Amino acid sequence: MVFAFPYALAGVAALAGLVAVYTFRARFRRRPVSSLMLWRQTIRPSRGGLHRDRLRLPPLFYLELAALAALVAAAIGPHVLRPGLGALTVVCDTSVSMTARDASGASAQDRAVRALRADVRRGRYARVRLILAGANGPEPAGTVPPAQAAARLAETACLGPSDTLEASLARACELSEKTDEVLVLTDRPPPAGDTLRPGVRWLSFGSIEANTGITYADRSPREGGTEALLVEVAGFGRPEGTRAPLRITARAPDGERTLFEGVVDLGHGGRGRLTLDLPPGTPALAITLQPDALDTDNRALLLPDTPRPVASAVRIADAALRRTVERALAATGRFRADASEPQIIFTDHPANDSGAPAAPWQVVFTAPAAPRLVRGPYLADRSHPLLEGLSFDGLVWPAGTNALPGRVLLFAGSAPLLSVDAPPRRAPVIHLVTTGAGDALYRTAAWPALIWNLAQACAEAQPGPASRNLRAGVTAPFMAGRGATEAVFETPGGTLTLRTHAGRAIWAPPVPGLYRMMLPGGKSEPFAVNLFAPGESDLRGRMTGRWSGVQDGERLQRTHRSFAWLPGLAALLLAGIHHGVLGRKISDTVAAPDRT
Amino acid sequence: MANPTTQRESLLAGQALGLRYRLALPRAALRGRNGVRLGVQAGASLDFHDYRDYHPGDDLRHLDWGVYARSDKEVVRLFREEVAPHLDLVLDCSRSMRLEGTAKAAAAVSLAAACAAAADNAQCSHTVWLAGERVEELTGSRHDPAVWREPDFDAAVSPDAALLNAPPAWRRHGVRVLISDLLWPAEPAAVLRRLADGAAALTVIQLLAREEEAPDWRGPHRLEDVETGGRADLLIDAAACAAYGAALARLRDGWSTACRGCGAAFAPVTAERMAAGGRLAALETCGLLEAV
Repeated sequence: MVFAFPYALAGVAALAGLVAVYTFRARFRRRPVSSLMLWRQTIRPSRGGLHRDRLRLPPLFYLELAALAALVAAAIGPHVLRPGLGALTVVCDTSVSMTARDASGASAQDRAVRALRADVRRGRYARVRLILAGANGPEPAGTVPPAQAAARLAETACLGPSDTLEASLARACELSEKTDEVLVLTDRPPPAGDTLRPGVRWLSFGSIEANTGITYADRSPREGGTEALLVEVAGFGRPEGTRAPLRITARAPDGERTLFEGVVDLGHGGRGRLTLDLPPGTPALAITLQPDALDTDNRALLLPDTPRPVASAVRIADAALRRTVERALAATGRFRADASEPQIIFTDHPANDSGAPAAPWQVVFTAPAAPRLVRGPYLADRSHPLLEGLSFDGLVWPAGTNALPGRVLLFAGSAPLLSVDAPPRRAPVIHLVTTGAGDALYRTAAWPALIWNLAQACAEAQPGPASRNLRAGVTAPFMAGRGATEAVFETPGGTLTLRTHAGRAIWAPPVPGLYRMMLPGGKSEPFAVNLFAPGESDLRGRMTGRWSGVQDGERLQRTHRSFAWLPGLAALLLAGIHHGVLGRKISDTVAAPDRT
Repeated sequence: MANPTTQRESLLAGQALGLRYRLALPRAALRGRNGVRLGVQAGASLDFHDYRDYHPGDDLRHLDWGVYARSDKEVVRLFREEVAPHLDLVLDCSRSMRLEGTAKAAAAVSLAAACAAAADNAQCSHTVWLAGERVEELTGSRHDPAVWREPDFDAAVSPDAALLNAPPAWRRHGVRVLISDLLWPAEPAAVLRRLADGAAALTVIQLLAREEEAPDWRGPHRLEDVETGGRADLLIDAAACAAYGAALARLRDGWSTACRGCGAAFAPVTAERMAAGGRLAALETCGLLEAV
């Protein structure tokens, strides 16, 4: 057994011992007398009931008692709050599991708010700094007066697909000074093996709950405009064989209609899948599960996400080569011929207006100078998306001595074969060395793959999100258009503006919901963000507990000032008085026989 | 008196102290057996006492022929008698006289030895009686205190009970002295009557320890009677001490009054202060001793 104040405990025991010694010593000391005859005459008659005599103890007893009590008080180490304390940095877990409710209906966030309110009331901090440990990393939420900290935390939406507590804690420690404290409010324990640094308190308010959630959903395009819907449901803490009621509704402009209403059998591992064939033109789908501990993972929204066709124009004089290109474009199904407003032009003579902001991409077929057939070796820049999945082994390529502009992606020895010229704010121009449709390139698998990669890259370069169905916390590219310096979004939390690089913003939508990306010309592109976070839906590892990186004594010294010296000084003073009184008494006793 | 550690030392110390005194004998004590002291009546000594008319049968050797020649009257010369006065000293040998932590026992034997030595100075014989379970003569008490047997002070009864049970063979017309703490329930007059019967003089010496005269204890005490074994749990405070002092004063007053009523003397003596200043002031005051 460990006592907080062993010396104080010993002092208390000494107090009890002192009282016992004096009490028993004072009680009826034996004294022989010649006769009780005279003493009996001193007994006071009892009148009107029992007479209780007060226990009489010598003044020395009270002196010793007071000195011991003062020593006990000094051993306890009394403290007073320091008048000016440092700041409290609160790291708030904003993952969605913080909203999971227990049987009483309270969420971990509710409990964290109450704990923060109580802590702030006790701590007398000068200010409170809030850091939200969202999915995208530490997010400073400003410094607030201590009285408003709990209210601010209560207003915080906890919808993140994950947390970044470790990174946020590191940031908080960087921001904190020596006298500051860091408080982590979450629903999970700190990572095993991690040691919290002094001044950090980790409070977890989670509770273990069974929960069923949608962990994945997607709609994949098929031929003929149809789509396939896949929904994966996981029941964490549910026994195998549990049936999860599921409802899928289509949100058309004229109203909602139910596409599916049934159950999903949760098989091995508590997971179950549902696949549906969607007819062409199926609008947005809302997938819902029955309410349980965590509501956010019971909903999913899937928007129609058919690949956007790329408007193309083939302006090649060589008829055979033109037909070869057109055949390849048609084979991908990603291009539509649009000679008026093409987004990509396949040509054998580059246009001069490619520097305009709205200029289309160009694929320029360039004839080699002094051609010679080469078998390789080919040096390819595999990091470029245009060469993804392309293989040139065994390919015979008519290479020339002419140089290609831009960044060369493919060499045959020292002869460039393919390059991309992509100056800032201008449409890229792809140069391909070819002698005509008779080249071996067009009869290999590398050719359609190259065309597919072109379609993909050109489509992704069009303004709008890369996909209409995103996963919260997962980074996705958002094209704002060439020349645009910022991308504007309408999010569930309000309007958000992000800076772009080369007309593209890379962003991970942090919370589930329906978003909208604002495009030039007053247009907008909606996209849905779903949770799909099994780690958050699984509430089995949640815990309520308290971990501290600082000993109580250190924390006490941080926030309080000791005045143990005061009772210690009093004990010393009392001991001095006791010594004086005792010495005087002894001298009186020694001198007493001389009086006889 | 120095602090004697044994009764023998106390006896010797008391004897030395008593050599400074002489037992003050009243006239009534100068009667009785023939001895070396001149008595108050006519006797056979050489000291002229008086004349009286001759009666037939008187010793013709005491006829004063000169007076007969001058006045023709037959006158007989009388001479002082010589008596042997005696001191009977009764020493209370109850346990209370050997109270733990006090000098009562030492003071008692010193007092007895001093009285015996003073009696010797007064050419007076002496006997020490120990009032224990019964009243017995202290072995050797007719002689020098140095040869006395040391009293035991272990009796569990009070002197009046011992006197009643086995009254001693006291010398008539003797001087009697009682040394006791008198801390036993008794009727003083009855005890004194028994003591004074046939005595020429009686002195009662109440020997108390200082703590018995003025206890200075405070707080709760369990008082144990050394004689009866009785116990009393008392909270002793100033009021209790005052009440005790009043009770002691009443006791002394009762004995003093009774002593006066029978012609006896009463002398309270504090054990610890008995020989202060080398004088037995209390015994001088009461007329038992007189300085040599």
